[in-house]
Amino acid sequence: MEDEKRSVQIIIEENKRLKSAIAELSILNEIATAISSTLSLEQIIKLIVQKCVKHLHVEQGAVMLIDSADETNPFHTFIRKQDTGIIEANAFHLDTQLSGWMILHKSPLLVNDFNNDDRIKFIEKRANLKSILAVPLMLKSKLIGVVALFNKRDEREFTNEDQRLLSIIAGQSSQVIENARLALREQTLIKVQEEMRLANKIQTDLLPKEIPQFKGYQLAGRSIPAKEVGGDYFDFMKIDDDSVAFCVADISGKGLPAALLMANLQATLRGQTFLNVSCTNCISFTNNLLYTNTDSSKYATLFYGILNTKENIIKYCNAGHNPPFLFNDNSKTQKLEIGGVVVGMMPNSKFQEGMIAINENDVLILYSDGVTEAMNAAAEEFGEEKMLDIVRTNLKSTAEEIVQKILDEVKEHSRKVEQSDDITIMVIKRIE
Amino acid sequence: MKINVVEKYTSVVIELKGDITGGTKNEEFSDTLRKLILEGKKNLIIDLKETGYVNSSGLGMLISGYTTVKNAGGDLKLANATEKITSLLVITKLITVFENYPSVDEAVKSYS
Repeated sequence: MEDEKRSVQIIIEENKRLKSAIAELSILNEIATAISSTLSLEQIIKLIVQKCVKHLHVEQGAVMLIDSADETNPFHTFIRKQDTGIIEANAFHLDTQLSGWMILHKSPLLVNDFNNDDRIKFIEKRANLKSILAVPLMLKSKLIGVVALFNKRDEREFTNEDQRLLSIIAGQSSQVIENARLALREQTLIKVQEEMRLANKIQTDLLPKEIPQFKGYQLAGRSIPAKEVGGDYFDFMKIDDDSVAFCVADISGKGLPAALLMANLQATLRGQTFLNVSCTNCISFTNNLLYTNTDSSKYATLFYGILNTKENIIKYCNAGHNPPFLFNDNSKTQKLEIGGVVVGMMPNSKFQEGMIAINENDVLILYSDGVTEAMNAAAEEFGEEKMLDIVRTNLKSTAEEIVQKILDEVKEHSRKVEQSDDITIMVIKRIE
Repeated sequence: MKINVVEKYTSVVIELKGDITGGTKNEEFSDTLRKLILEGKKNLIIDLKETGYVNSSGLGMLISGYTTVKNAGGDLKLANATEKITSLLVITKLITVFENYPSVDEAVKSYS
């Protein structure tokens, strides 16, 4: 009789355990199904908090994630799901203090007597906070966040079973949260790449699409940025039926900052060409404007010239740019150096104007240092001499062919080496 | 790039070792200059003896340093510029802006 009673008792106990195990499993299953069906980080965390609040019978739940990229505020509370307004005031403080504890201990925290528990003395007392259950979110033994539940409902206390269940939930969630974060980061990266692609398109469109045509002359130019966008700039701007302004510039630095300044410089120059001012006035004005618009560590080397195709004369001002070379028919070269210091560095710099005649079959080459300083695998520069040799042996070719020939040779020289600087070449040839 | 500050007679010599490519080092350099100016040290010399490669951002750093010192009533001169750096100064015509001396001693002497 006694044995029978004990057996019944055992079966009842076993039944109870099974029931609670089934309940636990169904909770876990529900959470697993829910979070695996979404990829959004916010959705996943919201679901975890909602399910915990519901199944563990608490008044409030929160998930704090560590953002290692943000050093000043590494913890972000993603979601505070609450059914009552109990811990609204200073929730941020509480989350930070709790997260701080978790960074130190990396273990579950179960507190049923909030106001008298020595372990959490450092957390300020709150009348409406009675119990806390918090477990770490661990990934490959690294703490990535905390799941915390506040106030067990109906005046009950958190049990060891609650802690066990929440620990399992946290274990399941860590990888899913991490995956969602990685996906989020990837999306951001794709967006940035897309924006850079657009920036590249905008910059390409800023360069002259159609080079103006003048009787007796061939004009050609090309610019290849090292990254999606660059700080090199060249332009041909028609002034009237006989004259064309042309320029090559290299803005200090690389990438997006240089590209933004390039657009600024171009707008400044195009605005003035329209007014047909002299080369020195144009450069002086550009210098002052660029100086005002930037700090003094940003500057540009700029060659600006005006070709009169009727008088066959080039007036120019060279503001610290690699001097262009004018090749005569008999292969003699002249450097176009007259001008002044780089623009954007100091206000009211003085500039001088140079003038040079361009005869039949003369070739003028302008370039940026990305050409001459292009490295090969052995870290040897392409060099000015090699560039000049190519022009010299191709004086009979068209302006476009000379540009292409130099580009090809530079490409060949820096084979297997990543292009480190923007490359720009411009050629003006008088044919008759 | 490593920055090393040495006092020599009435001048302060700032040695720049390694490549000058701007970036984060830019701030360290301008902080060094600002500190020297606050201490009333205005006869400054950049020693380029052990400087390697200087790119456009690095040159920008020197220019901005020059402006800072000049605006504070001081001067920033160069010493021991390598052939490569000298040619960069010639092309950009910054050679007309920076006083450039073949040795630190001569740069120091120019201040006396």
